[in-house]
Amino acid sequence: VLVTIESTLLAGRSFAATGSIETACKTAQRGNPMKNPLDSLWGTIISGLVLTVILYFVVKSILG
Amino acid sequence: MDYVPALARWIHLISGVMWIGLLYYFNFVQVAAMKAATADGTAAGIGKHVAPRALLFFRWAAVVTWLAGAALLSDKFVDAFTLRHGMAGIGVGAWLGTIMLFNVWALIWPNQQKILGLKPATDDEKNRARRLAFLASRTNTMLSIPMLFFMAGGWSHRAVFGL
Repeated sequence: VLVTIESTLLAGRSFAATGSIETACKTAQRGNPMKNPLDSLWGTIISGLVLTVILYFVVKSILG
Repeated sequence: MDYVPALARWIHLISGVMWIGLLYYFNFVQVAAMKAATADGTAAGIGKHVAPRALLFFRWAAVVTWLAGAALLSDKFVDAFTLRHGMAGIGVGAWLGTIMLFNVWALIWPNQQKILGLKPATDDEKNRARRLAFLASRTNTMLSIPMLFFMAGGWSHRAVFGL
């Protein structure tokens, strides 16, 4: 009985592993879901604003 | 009144408006317009008559803006670019402007020449050039936001830092 349970569990793990690989392959085939913010105007503007805030604090610390 | 700084400031502002104005025209107007014009078969006119003229004023306005800015900084040029002696604010603005000038002449213009057919290029090269020029132009649009913030602060930094 134990052997049967063990083999069933292993088969299940193997199935699960195969499933997750398949999902990963499908995701890879669909392409990278991450987008470049510069591809959209709003992404560009928001990136510029974020950079402004970062540089503001950098300059403020330099100026004392 | 010292005429050289006054003249340099005036030229810096006029050419800067032309440079950044055309940069915003490309990014906010022409990219979308080209997409729509390509769809209805009228893109050739923009590519032939509008883009080359806009690019001519765009790239030379960038040079004039940088030179007038350098003249305006005068003996503070090194202090600004090394972010020393209280010149960090305008220095960051100057660095961003310099990176943008580099993008114009090293990335945008050479790739636009291929796109517009001013330089021979295969279809693959044209597609690559299109993507590179687009990203360089968008990078400049992004950099223009902090660049204008720090330029608007001037040398005194009082406007933005209250120091």
